[in-house]
Order: sequence, then C-alpha cells, then structure tokens
Amino acid sequence: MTQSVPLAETSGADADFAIPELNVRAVTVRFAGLVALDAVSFTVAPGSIHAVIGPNGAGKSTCFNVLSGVYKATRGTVHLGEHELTGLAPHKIAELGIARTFQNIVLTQGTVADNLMLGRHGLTKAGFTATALHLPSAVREQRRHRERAREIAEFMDLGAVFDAPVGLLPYGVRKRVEMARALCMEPKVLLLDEPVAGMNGAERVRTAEAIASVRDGLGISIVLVEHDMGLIMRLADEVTVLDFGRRIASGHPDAIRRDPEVIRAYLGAGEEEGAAGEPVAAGLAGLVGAADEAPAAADATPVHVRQENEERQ
Amino acid sequence: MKPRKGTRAAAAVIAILALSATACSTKEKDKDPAPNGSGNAGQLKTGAGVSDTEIKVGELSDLSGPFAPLGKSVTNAEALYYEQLNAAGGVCNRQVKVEVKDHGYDPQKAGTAYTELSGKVVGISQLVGSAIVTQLKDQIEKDGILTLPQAWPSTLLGKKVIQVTATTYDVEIINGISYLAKNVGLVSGDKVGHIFSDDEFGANSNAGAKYAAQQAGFSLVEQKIKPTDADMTAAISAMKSAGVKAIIVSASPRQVGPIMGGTETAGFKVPVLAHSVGFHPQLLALVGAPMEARLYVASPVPSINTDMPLLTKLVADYKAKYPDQPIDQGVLSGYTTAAMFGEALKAACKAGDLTPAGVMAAHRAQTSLDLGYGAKLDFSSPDKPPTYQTYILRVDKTVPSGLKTVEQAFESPGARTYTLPKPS
Amino acid sequence: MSEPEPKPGAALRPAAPGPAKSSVLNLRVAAAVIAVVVMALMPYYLTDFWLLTGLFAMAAALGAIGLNILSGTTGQLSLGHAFFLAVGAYGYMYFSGDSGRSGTHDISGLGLPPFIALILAVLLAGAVGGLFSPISGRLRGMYLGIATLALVFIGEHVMINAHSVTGGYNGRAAEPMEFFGFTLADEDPYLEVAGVEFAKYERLWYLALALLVIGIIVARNLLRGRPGRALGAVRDSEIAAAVMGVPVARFRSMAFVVSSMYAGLAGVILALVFGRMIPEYFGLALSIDYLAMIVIGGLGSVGGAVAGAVFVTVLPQLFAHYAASLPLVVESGGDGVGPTEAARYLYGAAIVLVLLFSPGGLAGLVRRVRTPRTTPRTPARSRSAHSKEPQGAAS
Repeated sequence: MTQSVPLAETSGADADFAIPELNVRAVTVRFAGLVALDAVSFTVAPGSIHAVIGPNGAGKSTCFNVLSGVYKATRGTVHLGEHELTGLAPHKIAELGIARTFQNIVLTQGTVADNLMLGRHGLTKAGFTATALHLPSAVREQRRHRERAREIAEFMDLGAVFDAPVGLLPYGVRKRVEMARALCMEPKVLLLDEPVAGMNGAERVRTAEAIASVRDGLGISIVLVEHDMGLIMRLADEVTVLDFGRRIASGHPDAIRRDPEVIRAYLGAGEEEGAAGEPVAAGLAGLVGAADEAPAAADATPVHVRQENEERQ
Repeated sequence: MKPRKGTRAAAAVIAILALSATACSTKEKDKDPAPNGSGNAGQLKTGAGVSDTEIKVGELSDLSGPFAPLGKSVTNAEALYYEQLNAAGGVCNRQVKVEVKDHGYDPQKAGTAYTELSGKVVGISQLVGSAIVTQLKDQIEKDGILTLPQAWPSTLLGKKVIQVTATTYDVEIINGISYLAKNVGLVSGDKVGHIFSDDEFGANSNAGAKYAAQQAGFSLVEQKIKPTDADMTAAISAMKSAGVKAIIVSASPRQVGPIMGGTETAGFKVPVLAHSVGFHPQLLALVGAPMEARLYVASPVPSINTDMPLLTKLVADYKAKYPDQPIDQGVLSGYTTAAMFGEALKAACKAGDLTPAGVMAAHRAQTSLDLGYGAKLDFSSPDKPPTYQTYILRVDKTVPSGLKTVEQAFESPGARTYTLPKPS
Repeated sequence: MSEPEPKPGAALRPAAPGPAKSSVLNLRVAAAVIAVVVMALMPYYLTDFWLLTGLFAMAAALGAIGLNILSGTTGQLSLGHAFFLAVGAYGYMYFSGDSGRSGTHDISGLGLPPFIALILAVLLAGAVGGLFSPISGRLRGMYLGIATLALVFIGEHVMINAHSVTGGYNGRAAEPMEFFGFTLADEDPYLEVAGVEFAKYERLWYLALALLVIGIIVARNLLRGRPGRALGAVRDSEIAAAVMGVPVARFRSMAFVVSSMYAGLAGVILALVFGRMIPEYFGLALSIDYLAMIVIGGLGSVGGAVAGAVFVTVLPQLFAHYAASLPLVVESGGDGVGPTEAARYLYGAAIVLVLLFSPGGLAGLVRRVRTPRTTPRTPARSRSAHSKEPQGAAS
C-alpha cells in the first residue's frame, strides 16, 4: 500500500484548504407522505471519520442524497462551514468540496484515467472551444491534472491499471476506482456509501487502510455509511445511528456499542435483554458476519447484489 | 491541428499530386465526347448518347418508392414503345436503347443516378416525382438535355429543357370545375369544397380551383391535408358543415379512397372531382359503389380503355408483353411520353442533328403533334403546357383501368384566361 | 474556487510516454496522413457518380459525428437531426443568396460572401440547437426522441410555407462556394489539372475533405478532453455526473449545440453539392438514416460515425451500381428482382450482420481486431440511451 505522501504534500499545507465543519440541522425528507428522514441532526467534526449506521431502510442513503444535493430536504439545513448547502444543485455542492461514492458502482465508460479525470471536472476549466481547438491552455491543464490523477491512482493502489478500461476490472478494484475518483475532486468532505460492501477480506483490509490514510494524510472529513461493524468500530471517530428516519443515538463507537436504543433497533424490540454490553456485541458481530458473506463473486457485475439494500419506501 | 504536422501532410499531398500529374489519371472524360462523331449518314451531327448503331435514352423512375406503381407502368409502357420503334427500324438506322435508373423518390439517389445518365444519353424520356424534377432542374438545364417529367404542376414550366407533357394541374382543375358546374348543376353562389394536399401538386391545383371558383362565382371552402394523411374525417366534416355542393380533391389515391368512403358513410353524397393521378383501379374493390355514383376524374388523356385504334392496340400489345401487370392510366401516360420523345428523335434525325441540343430544338419546333389520342400538342413555348385540354372520365368497373371517357378533350373558357404562375 | 496546483513532488512519475506508445502514435498519424492523401487523389480517378457519392458520404460523416456526440456520447436520443441539417442548408442559402425569384415566389437573401454564409449557417444551426435546450433539458430517452420528432414536422411545415426564405416546394438554389474569385463550380475559372477537368464536384471534394478532417479532429479533441468526459458521465448516470461537479443541464444543452453545428455544416455541404435544396430531402427518413449510421458505426466513436456514414451512404450505391451484374438480378424496369431491390436485400443483410456480430458497431469490430485477446464481452447492447442510475440514489 502506497503511503499518503503525495496527497499530504499537496493539500494539507494550503491555508485556503482548511476543512470546515459539516453541520446537519433538523433535516426532514418526505416522499409523498412517507417520512424518510425525521429531523435528523449531526455534526461532522473537521478531519474526523463519522459513521452513519442503522438497519436497512433507516434513511442512511437518503441522508447521503441530501448531503450531495440529489434530494432536497423538506425541512432543515445543511451547512459546510459558513456555506449553506440546502437547496444547491449537486454540482454546486461538489464545487464547495463534497465528494461521494455510490452504494453500487457508478463509473463511466472508458479507462480508469478517464474516470479520475472526470473527478477533476470542477477543478478544471477547459471549455468546448478551447478543447475543440486543442488550445495550449487546455492541453497544459489536461496534462497537469492527469499527473495529479495518476498520483491519486497510485495512492489508491490503482497505478498499474491507470490506463485500463474500467469495464475489465474486478469488482473490488472498481470500488477503489470510485473512491479514487471522489478523491480526485480534492474534497473537504468525502461521503463513502458502503465502500467495502461485496469485497473479500483482503480487499476490505486494503480499503480500510486507504480510508484511514485519507483522513490521516489529507485531514479531510469522511462520512461513512457501512454495514461492516468491525470496520466502523476500528475507523470511526463518531457514530450516528438512524432508525426509521430518526436519529436514535450519536457518539463514540464504544458508547454506541452499549446503547440500548441501538441494540433494540438492530435486534428488534422483542429481544431486548438488558443494557449489558455482551449481547449487543454479539448482535453487531453477527451483522459483521452477515456482511462478510455478501457475495464476493459479485466481481463480474457492477450492480451490488446484496438483497436488503433498499431504503424504506 | 498542429501547424508542423499540418504542413508536413500538406507537403506530402502536394508532392503526390504533382507525381500523379505525370502519371496519367485513369479518369474517363465521358462528359464531352467528340462533338461531331463520325456519322455514316452524311452530315448527321451526333453527340452524347449516340453511336453509329445506337441511340441511348435515359429514364429516371421510382420503382421502389411511393410512386413505384406509377413508375412501373410508365417504365413498362416506354419499353414497349421503344421496342416497337426499334422493330420498325429505329431512328436514323439506329436502335434506341433505354437506360433506366431507379431513384426510389430519394433526392440523394436521384442526384447520383442523374450523374450516371448525364453525358451518356441524348435525353431523358421519363422523370418521376415532381420534387425530384425540382431538385434536378437546374442541373438538367445546365446540361441541356431534353427531359420529360411524369408530373404536371405549372411550376415546372419555363425551362426549355423540361417539357411538361400535358395539361397542368391548375388548368386541368379549371376545366374540371367547368364540366362539373355544367353537368351537376352548380350555380353562382354555391359553395364548393377543395381538399388538397400540402405539397406542390395540391398548391398548384388550388391556384386553378381558386381562379375557376372566382370566375363562376362559387365560394371555395378549402381544406389542406398532409400528403401522408389517411384519416379524412376532419376534412369531410368541415365540408359537410360548410354545406358544399361538390368536393374537389387534389390528393393521392390513398386519400381519395377515404374521402369517397367517408362521405358515403356520413350520408354526404356530393359529386367529387379528382385528378387522374388521384385515381387507382385498386380503389374499386374498396369504394367502387360511391365512386361509380359520384366520382369525376379530370385527365389529360382519355381512358386507356376508350375505343380508339391507338388505345385498343396499346392495351393488346401491353397485355401480350406484360401479362401479369395491371393496365392503368400510367401505361397510357408512359406510352405517349415515350412516343413524344420518339417523335423528337425522328424530327431531329430529319433535321440532321442528333445531338442533345438538336433533339431539343427539333422537339420544340413541333407545334401540332398528334399522338393518336385526340389532343394536338404544341411544344413551341416553354412557358405553356402543350395542351389546355382535359378529358372527363368516370368509373367503369367492367374495364381493366376502371375508367371510361365520358367527355372528349375540351378546353373551358377559363383555361386560357387564367394566368399561369410565372416561374423565374 | 482556487485551482489546486499539483506540486510535482518526488512521487511524480515520469510523464514521458514509453517508446512503444509513441511509435503507435506515429503509426496512427502516418495512417491518417495516407488516408487524407488517398482521399485527395480521388478526384483524379473517380467519375462524377462516385465523386457525388463520396461527397454525400463526407457530408453524412460530419452529420453523423454530430449526432454521435449527442446520442452516442451523451445518450440523448434525437430524431430531429434532419431538422438541423435543414437549418444549416437553408441558412447558407439565405445568407449567401440574393433576393430574387424561385419558382412562383419572391425570395430574399442577404447576399453575403459564401464563406461567411457557411460560418453563419453553422452558428445558426448551433443557436437553434441551443434554443431547443429548455425542452431537451426536461425530457429523457424515448420522450426526448418524440419531442425531437416534432422538430422534423415543424421544419417541414416551415420549409414549405416560409417562401421568402426557403422558396417553398420549389426549394432554393444555393450560391456556389467562392474563395477570392475562385468558384467551386463548373467554371469561373475553368480549371484543368493534369488533363482532368476540375469541375464542380472535384472542387467541392477538397472543400468537403478539408471540413471533414477539421470536423474529425475537433470531435476527437472534444471527446478526449474535459467536455467529452463530462458528456459521457451524463450518459452513464446524470446523478453521478452531477455529484462529480458536472452541471448536467448545461452539458446536455451544449451537446445539442455542438451536434446541431455539425448537422448544420453537413447541411451546407449538401446544399453546395445539390445546388438546390428542396424540403422533401429533410424528412424523417433522413433522421433515421443518421441514427442508423451511428448505431452501425458504433455509439460514441468518431471513427465509427464516419465508418457508419460511409456504410449507409456508399453501400446502397455500390450495390445498386453493381447489382445489375449479379446473377438472378434483372435490369431496372425489368421483371423480377431489380438492382434496387437486390441492393436493399444486401444492405439490410449487411446491417443485420454488423449488429449481430459486432454489437459495438464497426468501431467495435476494429477495436476487436486490434486487441485480439479474449476480453469479456462488453454488453454494448445495454449501452443504449437508457442510463443506469445509482442505487440508493433513486430509492
């Protein structure tokens, strides 16, 4: 695994690049009468890894969609530092420094390089005329940013496949391409939607290391939706737990592990067995196991085949 | 493009061009063959398309597009005419050979097909499709080859090289309306409907209808339809609610059929006047009864099933040569058009000039050509149709073409007082 | 937003491409130069029939490149390409033409120099494409296709009724192209090069070839650069593209603008070649032809669009030209299977064969020949306008 050297070198020192706080305040999302998110609030501290967990249908993906501007919040606000994100178009939010990956892989045709360069869209300027006429400014810009994209690819262990068509890559690699593409946007906040889902053990470890080194090397904030509890307990600085669109708990992973509300949410109301830590740990461990069994054979298909990934409708 | 690479490429191109200048091009200059080919018949001047033994005539037809039924009949009939002409010794001791190109009513295909003919033929004795003629007319004029289109809008007048072969649509409808007025009893003040397709044909016909209506004091109720429309309900109900006494239809058979059927079911049984291009024998099976009762067809030629020596012989010969092909008005149109071209060739031969220009001059010199079906044709003015006469035909299920002649060639007073649209 | 300047640190890899790569590049440049030279020599050998066919093919290639940017790269189905060709053609005729009469109507024109008229006509087509963006921005897939279909019908109506600009049914004559007194027509001045008369089609050949080369280079630059990547992202997932920072609506409408400009240029060349344009030419069938070109050629590929245009334009002519010498085929006008029918059968069969054996079109075929290793079959059929939206984003 390449270390974080090139990335740290580029961004951290820049005074302009201070990582702001991400503030989610009382966000409510309603679809035709259904409440997908109910007054959810949380704050992502600069440079931290903030996990959003919850059973399926809890509203995690809805939350991501609000943060990235895909959905409009019915009520409530999202702020990045002093910028209000609520109501902005997705590409404006991306411009302000929020990047995300998707639960299933969404790459465009072409090579890994093409995909990473797409991530640099907002950072580059070459328009139709300059590009069409092959003006020196456009050529220079493209060359410069391609070098940067290559650095990020190396960082994500994708250097060897930089010029390979993404369509030919195995599942785990494509997942990393998606994350590298988000990093190419030089984000202040990175939203990772189930970054290790469907990966085998080795790939999980490698991706977890990459996530940690992004935070450590770049100092950017990461919001993480994941079912792999082991990963979350290892990486997260803070955890927000959603259930039925409501925030039911928030805090340090160790505290969450013992939270009775969380245990109830995960194990079902009928199995409430007290506030002791052991059963919860077992329950969460079970979840980890379940996630591990997610088909690693999903290699050939771009669509995440996990059965229960639908949000509550 | 990087300038350096560009100049290098350009240099290479120029170098090779220069090289090939010394090496001879294989390109045939078939555009202008020897202007005074050695004729064995004294001082006969020959040019493109004429050899010592052969005269080549071009045809640009639609054998695979929307006008294929017409194109097929015309092409067959022209082939029949030239076969008979050759059997009788040809023209100037030469056999006439026909080269047929199919454009499928596609302007692009017509363009390339035309380049295959131009320079190789002495003239074009068939050109189907008014849009195609329009597309090609500048080119034809420049090449100066006599061309006989199978379309009759007066907008094709005005060019010496393009000979509209009969009464134009506008004049035809003027004659038709005058017949209708006399024979179904229309009086000044009556309302007359005109359903016409939104194309050159319809527009040209409408100009004539407007004039005729104004002359006779009718008020004209107009309904424009798209050339591809098949549903005539709206047009019919507009006619019915306006209370027209008769309907003129300038459209294709696929619209005349629904109009006949639709008026019948609506109980709106008024006389209908259509052009001969709007009739097809296939309609008989669908709307035979209403057509028999109420349809009048204005035509530049008589019914092919009229008892005339020329026509009975044509029907018999055609049947012998093409036993499986239907006999429709296209057969007559094709045969007479080819005959027109044959006469031009004969006249050119007599004048000793079989070049394309000679053929055209000889053609335009004919002022009273009788092809054997009645009308006398005057080709001397490019700005006028060769005849202003019209036949009225009615439906007769007992004959193959489905039409019988009920009124021999006539010219209504309005036909000549009407000012033909003057194209540039 | 400040552009982060990547500092070339120790971790930077050498930027110079390996020797193998540069020799491949040289080879491709050489192949392109040879192709251009061969094309430049064609007027010495081809008869008018083939020159004209070639000119139609070059115009079609430009139009197809444009449609491919719109439909192949950006995934916006358009049945209205014929309309934009018409805008270019009539625009050119209006800008360059003089006022006068065509058929039975007065027509007007601006009488501008033909080369200026060409540029204005292309810009006009682009502007009209841009005007369509409020509609194209709201509709997707089939619905957009039907909306663009309306353009063809509106265009037909306008062409027939706006007599003073279009000349109505009669169409309108196109001024020949002219550069500093040198006219791209049969004479003025008369020109003979190495014993071959350089008439209208020979002269236009070089104009069309030059425009095609420029068109190909521009399209390749666009598609390999930042705009091309953004357009591809819009096709593959609008949501993901937006999240990556691509202003989706703007790029969708820019795709229309660029595509319409290519169509407009093709229309101008057609007007110059035909010498007169009539409304009938710009029907729905023309739009369908262009769709066929890009599907046969390979969606999203510039070379594919050119190959598809040549396939669709030249193959039927080739078949029609030589079908008469095939067994069982009778001459035009004879009884039996005529050359046109035979050409249609062969052409239809060729289309089916290409699509069956190379779902990526002709471009995919070339790619496969070039990289013979066994690759997993790319599902080219699913590459259609139907974009796959990210899960979780649309729930």
